[in-house]
Amino acid sequence: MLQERLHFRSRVAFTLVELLVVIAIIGVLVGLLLPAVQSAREAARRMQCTNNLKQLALGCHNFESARKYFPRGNNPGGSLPEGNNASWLFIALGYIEQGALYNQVVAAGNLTNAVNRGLLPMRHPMVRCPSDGYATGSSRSDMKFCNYIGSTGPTCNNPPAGCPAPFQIHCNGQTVPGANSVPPELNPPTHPGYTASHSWGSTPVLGNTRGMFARGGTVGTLTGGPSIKISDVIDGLSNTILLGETLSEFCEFQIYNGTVVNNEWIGPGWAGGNNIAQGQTIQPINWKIDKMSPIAAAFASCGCNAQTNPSGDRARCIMNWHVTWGFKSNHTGGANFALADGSVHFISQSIDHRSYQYLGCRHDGQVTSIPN
Amino acid sequence: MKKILLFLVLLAIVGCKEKSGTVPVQGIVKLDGQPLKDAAVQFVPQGTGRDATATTDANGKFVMSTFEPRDGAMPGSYKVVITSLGNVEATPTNVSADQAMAAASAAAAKAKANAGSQVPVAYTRLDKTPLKQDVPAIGEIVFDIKSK
Repeated sequence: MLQERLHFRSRVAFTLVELLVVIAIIGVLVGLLLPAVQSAREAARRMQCTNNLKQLALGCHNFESARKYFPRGNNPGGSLPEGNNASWLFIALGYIEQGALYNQVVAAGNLTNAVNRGLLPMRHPMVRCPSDGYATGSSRSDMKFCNYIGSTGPTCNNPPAGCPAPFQIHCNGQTVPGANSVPPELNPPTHPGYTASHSWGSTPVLGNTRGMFARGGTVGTLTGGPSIKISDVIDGLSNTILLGETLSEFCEFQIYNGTVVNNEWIGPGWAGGNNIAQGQTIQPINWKIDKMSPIAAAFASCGCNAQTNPSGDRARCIMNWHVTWGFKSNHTGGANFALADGSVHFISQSIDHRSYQYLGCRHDGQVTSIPN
Repeated sequence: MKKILLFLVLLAIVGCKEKSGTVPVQGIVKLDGQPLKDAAVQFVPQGTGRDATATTDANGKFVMSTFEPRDGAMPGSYKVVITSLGNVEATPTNVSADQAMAAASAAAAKAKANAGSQVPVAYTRLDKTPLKQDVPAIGEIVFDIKSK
């Protein structure tokens, strides 16, 4: 009788302990699975990001096929599509079947007209990395950002007064605070094979350009960057970085690009200006700096304050141009890069810094490939 | 049961912790025996590796950073470069970065004069610096540099 009752009970209900065990097992399984699902989602985003870079690199190559040189960073002189301050990113889009926007903007005559007609800034899926959730809203100032920048290689930057320039030795120059010039060279150089570049990578002179791009002048000055031919890439297209990723929340030139209208910065955004050709290799990959405020903070020197330097580390101060122009991403452990041959690679942030400089410089004579 | 769960949670925490490979490095910079404030300290690897950087506080103390703020430096041998940042003055507020760049160019000579007056050139250049440091370091590092 007792046995029968026990048998009956065990069939209609679980004991509390059994229930807890089942819940615990399910909990552990979900706990194991969730991170896997999340990382699969991130892997998919990274793949799309890789694809965007590939397309843009192909755009640069299509341009090269037509013109026999790679797109300039920007050229304030001349007229659209190649002049009028249009960025290489805008030009590249016109060469990868993204002609709708390209033709409309060119038809508008110049970038200012395009902005006034509401064509720019424009959200374009191909210029944003899906892993970057910054400013994905629908306001005009949100649409100006991009995640892909041209590489100026190991380029010197002269920081504002009071800012440290920790990585300047990798451009082989001794920078002078604020001066826009070619700095005195280090002898012997930190990395043999190349000389100091022009400060901020802003030069029309090929000989002062280390990477695949130079920043052209700003509106009002008529200098564009040099036109770099394939034969100028002496290290080989497979050993030189063409494009890379950035996070616009750390780029002061992307944030403060244009003019303020109703507390929003309105301008052509990624389609114009010299902010899209300012990727440098002297800063390590993913060197995180204090985030820029969406509305302009004081553009001043690197004092330690809550506005421009909340971390208190002046090597991470947002007004320190020396540290703000490196390649950055939200991918774990590194960032995607397109090499000048059009191939896209994920480079680890722990890459040897010397190898990274040689990958960035197009003519150092050092044939460096990406370590596995 | 609880013990097993606790163990699994602990395992998950340990498993998730990222390994960056850095060890904490901190120290003090002195110029002629006095703590040197607002000086940039940089470790440059002698072989392969990554630079570590820091800036000294008002007491001359610094904590090195490699990947994240204050995470230290990768183990290895380094050359050390120390530069003074000069007097950090509040410059006039500029409305754009382009303007700030122009203003900075104008202030360049002054800033250079300030910076140059404190630390001898030998310590500021990678090819001339006599300072070397191995990581991991034992205790607090002291860089006592002489102005002549």
